[in-house]
Formats: sequence, structure tokens, C-alpha cells
Amino acid sequence: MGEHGRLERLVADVRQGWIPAAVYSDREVFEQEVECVFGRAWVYLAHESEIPEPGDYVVRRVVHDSFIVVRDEHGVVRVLANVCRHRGMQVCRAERGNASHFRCPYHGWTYRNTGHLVGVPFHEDAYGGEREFPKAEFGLLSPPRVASYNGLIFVSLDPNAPALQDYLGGFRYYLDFYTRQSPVGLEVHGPQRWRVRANWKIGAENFCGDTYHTPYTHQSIAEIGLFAEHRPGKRKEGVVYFADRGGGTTYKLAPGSFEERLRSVGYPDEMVERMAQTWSPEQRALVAEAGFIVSAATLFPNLSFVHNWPRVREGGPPVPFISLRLWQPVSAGETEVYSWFAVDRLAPEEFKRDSYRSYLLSFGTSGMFEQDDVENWTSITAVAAGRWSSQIRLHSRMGLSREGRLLRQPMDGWPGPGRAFQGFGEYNQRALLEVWCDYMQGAREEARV
Amino acid sequence: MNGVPGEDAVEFELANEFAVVRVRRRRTRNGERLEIESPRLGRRVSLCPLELESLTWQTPETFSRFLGTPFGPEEEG
Repeated sequence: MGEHGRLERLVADVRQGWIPAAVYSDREVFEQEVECVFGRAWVYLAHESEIPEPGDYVVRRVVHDSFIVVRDEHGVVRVLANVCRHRGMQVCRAERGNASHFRCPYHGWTYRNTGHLVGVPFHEDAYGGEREFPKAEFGLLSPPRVASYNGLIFVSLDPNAPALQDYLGGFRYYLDFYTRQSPVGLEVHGPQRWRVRANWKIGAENFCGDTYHTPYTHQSIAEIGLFAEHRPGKRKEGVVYFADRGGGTTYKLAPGSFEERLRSVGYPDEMVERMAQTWSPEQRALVAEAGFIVSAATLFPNLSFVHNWPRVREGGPPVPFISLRLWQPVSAGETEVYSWFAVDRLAPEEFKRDSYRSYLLSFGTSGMFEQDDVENWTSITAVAAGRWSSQIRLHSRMGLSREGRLLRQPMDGWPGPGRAFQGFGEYNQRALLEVWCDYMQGAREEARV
Repeated sequence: MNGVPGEDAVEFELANEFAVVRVRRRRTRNGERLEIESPRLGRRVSLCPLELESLTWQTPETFSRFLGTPFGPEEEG
């Protein structure tokens, strides 16, 4: 009871933009997240391009629940619980592979890659055969909900979760800039995977809207000239948007047409042409009329995106890259980061190579941004675990007056869904944590518009 | 000498997390077969081209039936 009251007070503070540091370290908070956030939200598992051929599979998790994402022999993508129906052994233990059947390492129960149980050793002697133990009843289970959008495969462990399309809501408009630059869509490579001693929400918040850290945390990147333009105030000109369950940051582009603006960040003409044909008029307007282009973003709870355009050769032109990343919680104080390189499948080979290099220079295990960021995030998490400092309420109210009024009004005539603000402000971090609060308090779709 | 019957060197090994097989071309006095060996189960099968061809029209379900006894015939066990 007392514990419940404590969580309620904590959530109430977060809704005001006063974040008790314990949110980033507390075990009870984490357990509630496992239950209410990761047990109910739509959680990203894999991209369809990671399993292009029959039998290809990857093993992914929703916190502690392990799933096999596999393309069966007939080409159907399936998500199967990685739990043998006999003793609960993990059927697949490699992180990825190709197999038409999975044979449990414990007693040898064997499942077709559709999940059907096809082989039970000594079926007759041990179980009385089909009469007493019909194999059809003991296939690998599927999670309650599975759906995909632009090849991104999501699951929800809540049978009553809203449809994925509704969950994504207005954020789909922005998601397409990363995942649908042509009708064919993405191919992803990786993931690189590593663990950081940081709470999973810190990265999610950062990618969602923290344009304010760029000039200082990433100062050295500007100094070595990785980017063509590096004025400290550049991020201030960008817009941060938030729509339903996701939000992100943008950069302001120099004047020009749709084509000129996309060329200016390094896209070759044939890719620009496909974007023009693939995106809706409202999507094209973001670039062509408003003059913005998406950068980092987060979809609640833990899937983030990066789109940036460093130079891969000294003094050379910018080369854009896209990265997907998952903040996979391990515990309150530890996160496994999955980082994928993503590129449109129809992009010219030369562009793919350069774009990959562009990604490696800035993100992933070798990326400079990554080194800068994680030092901050591990430090925050360590501080947040302090007996006394965990009680401190952190200030996440940038863009609000003392009384809580908006210091700046949302943009007029923004071409996309949701709410958009130009300039620095923690609008998105608050919006993301607002969704978090709703889930922590058990609100379902009905409660949100 | 060419054309002497017997066991050729392993051509390749194929493995995933569930099984390992060694595959070799096996020459006979007058022809050749493909031999598949499971080092873990200690079993081998030698297939002629006609048998191999017949595999090309099998469905995944056929192989599921093969795997009904997941590590070989049980009467020997």
C-alpha cells in the first residue's frame, strides 16, 4: 500500500516535469515498468530484412521474455516464444541462425519453424503417443499480439493492446522518413550490441528531444570538423515534434526546393526522386515548405532512430545515414544497446558503403557520439542510485515558466501531426514521460487521445 | 590414382546450433554418391543422384516427419 502511494507520488512529480532521480535507478520502479510498460506497450523486436530467407531467425527479448523471430519455410514471418513446452528450456540459444526445425537441447523435443511440435523422443513409450499426447497441442506459443509497420516487427504482451497502427498514431508520418525512403523500404545491418550501466529511459529521452546537449556534450565532434556546419546555435533553429507515442528532433535546412534540400544533406538524385514519389504531399511539405529534416527520434517505450549527415572524408560532402536502436532494459541500472545501420534497399551500392562509414564514425560501438553520451548517462544512473540523491527532483521543465505555462507557443502551420516547437525545450522528454506515466498507472488506449 | 573407390575427404561441414553434418562425395567402382555423416549421432547415409533429386520435390512437412524421432530410430536406443 505504502509502496503504491510512493509510486503514485513519483508519477505525479514526473507529470510536472520534476523527475525524482529514483526514476532512473529504483528497483520497484523497474519492476512496475516490466509489468506496466513492457508488459503492455508495443515493443520492437526486429526488422523483416534481418530474416530475408526461409529459416532465417533472430532471437530477441522483451526485457526477460525471449522470442524467436523467424521466417518459416513458406516465407511467413512468425514470432515464437523461445520456451520449450516441456521444461521451459530456451529452444534457440544462438542469437541468430537458419533452421527449418528447432531441436530443444534438453530432451530433444523438435519444432518446425512454424512453431509446430513435430518430434518427441519415445512419444509412444513415454507419453502414450498421439492419443494421450497430441503434439498439435504443444507447439511453441506466440505472444498475444504481433504486427509490423514498414517491415518493423513489434509485439505486445497485452492481448487488449490497441492495433499497432493506432498505437503508432501520428508518429507514423515521421517514421516513414526513416523507414520508407522508397516503396521497398529498409535493409538493416547488425546489430552491434553492448551494455551500459545506465537506465534505459535516459537514452530514450535523449534521442526523443535533447537538442540542448549537442553543442556541449558533442563539442569535440564539431571541433574535428566531422560536420560541415557546426555553429553551436544550429540546433536551436530546429523543431522538436511529438505525436501520440513518439517524437523527435529536426534540423532547419537552407532555402531551396525539395530536391535541393535533400541533395544538400548528401542524398543522390535517384534517392531523392524515389522519396518524392513515395512520401505523401504532407510529408514532402516538411522538407519542401517548412524546410526541416528529421534527425533523432524515439518511439515509446524504447526504440530510437538517428538520421544525420557527417562527412566521411576530410572536407568532403556530407553523407547521410540512418540508425535504429533499441534500449533493451537489463535492470534498473543497466541497459543493453542494440544498434543497427539502416539504408534504403534501392540505394546505389556506393551510397550504401559511404553511408555505413558515416554511421560507424558517429554511432555504434566505434561512434564518437556514443562515447560522449554514455559517459553522461552512466553518471546520472550512478547518482540516481544514491540513498539521499535518489530523492532529488531533477528539473525537466525547459520551455515552461515557473507556474508551468509554455514560454513559447507550438508552431503554426506545421505540416505533420502532433505538436511542434522551435528552439530549445524539454517538450518531448516531458511528452515521452507523460506516456510513461500513463502506462505506469495502467491507463489503456481509451484514456489517451 | 583416379577412380579408386573409397572415401574422399570431407568436402564441407554444415552446421547450425542444432546439428552438424559432414558432407563428402563418395566414389564407387562405377559411379558416385553423396555421403552425409552426423558425427554426433555416429550415423551416415549415402545418397545416389536419383535419391537426391527426389528431395527436390519434398515439402517441409516430409522433413518434419523424418524428425518425428528427433535423434534417430528409437528401437536401437
